Amino acid sequence: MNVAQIDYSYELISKRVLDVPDDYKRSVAKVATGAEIDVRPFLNYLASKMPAWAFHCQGKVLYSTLPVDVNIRREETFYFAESEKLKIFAFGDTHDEAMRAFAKQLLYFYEHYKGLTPDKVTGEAEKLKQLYSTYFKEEEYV
Amino acid sequence: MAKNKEKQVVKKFELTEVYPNQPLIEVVCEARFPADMAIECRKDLFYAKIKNKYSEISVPVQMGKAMPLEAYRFEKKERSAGVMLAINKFSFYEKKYEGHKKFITEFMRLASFLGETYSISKIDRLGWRYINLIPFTREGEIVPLQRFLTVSLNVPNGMSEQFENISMVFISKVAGGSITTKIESVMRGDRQQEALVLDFDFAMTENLNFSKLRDYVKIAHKHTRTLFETLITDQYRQYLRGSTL
Repeated sequence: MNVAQIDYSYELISKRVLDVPDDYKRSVAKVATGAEIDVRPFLNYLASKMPAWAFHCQGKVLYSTLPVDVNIRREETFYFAESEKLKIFAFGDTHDEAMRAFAKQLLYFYEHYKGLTPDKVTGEAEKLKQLYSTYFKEEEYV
Repeated sequence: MAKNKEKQVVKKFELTEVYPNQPLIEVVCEARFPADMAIECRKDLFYAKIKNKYSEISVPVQMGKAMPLEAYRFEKKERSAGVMLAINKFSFYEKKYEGHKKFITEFMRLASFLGETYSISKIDRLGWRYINLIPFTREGEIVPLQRFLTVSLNVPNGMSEQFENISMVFISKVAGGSITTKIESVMRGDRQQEALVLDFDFAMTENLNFSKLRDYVKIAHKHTRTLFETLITDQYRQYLRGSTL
């Protein structure tokens, strides 16, 4: 689903929500307490961190039992998706592309560390191998 | 059965717990009362009592509206909290929420100024509202609602539960009032960030007296917080507590 499709989906839903006959009114036009509050400006200051549990890549899905704290930020023309704990730094032209690059790296490192025997890892690599084997599991995407 | 369910929920959190990763963007508590013309004429009296902390004044500007019913705002310099006042309502809101105890203490301090400045004895409605904005990333093109919220739509066979987008609002009747719940996926103007709005409002509407405001506020907070905890999944609660990879 690209940005244009998502955008169209939002347009469609906002049209449907407002689609009430002229002489009728919507049941809940605004939430009553503090009805003056406008949520829209807050969107511009959304936290760049967000939790993610499932990562789709190359017909597979990697699931994490603990939420992965993904930090997504924009710098000039690129979007960066990063996880400090997993040592993943990915980028793309859009938010979606950065997340796909993130998932691709995650899958790569998951398979890489899974393939290493314990005697082949030490220090930081040992920690990462432990982390991937404890919290991640892979499934075919149907 | 319902009581057991409530007990299970209560065990999962403490009312005093403030999550390090909380998604709250605003908390509001509002009291409505029969219109008092003194408020329209002498807002200066109330402002004089709060201006050391809420010095910034915003006047309502909405064409075609009955202006006395629109609220004046008195905000902190950094705009992190404020008071709204109109002839029939008073509210306190915070954007940087540090827990309910501080919030209720401040609300009651401000309400006491209201009570001593104007003659308000009856309350028509007391509402407590939490507005949450939960940033998300899609999972295989779908809004991953089930990761965050326990709400599900029991759609019949042939209809998909793989939601591309969501917008729903419902008002539920509860003893002494109602709860308005709004769940909606939203996208930022640059089309590069999406979020779930989780907005709920617990309102008490029956037999309310200004002198018992503190009791109502405590009840409203407890209901709203419990509702929030009931609505979020355990795995999202893990994230809110900072238990992440």
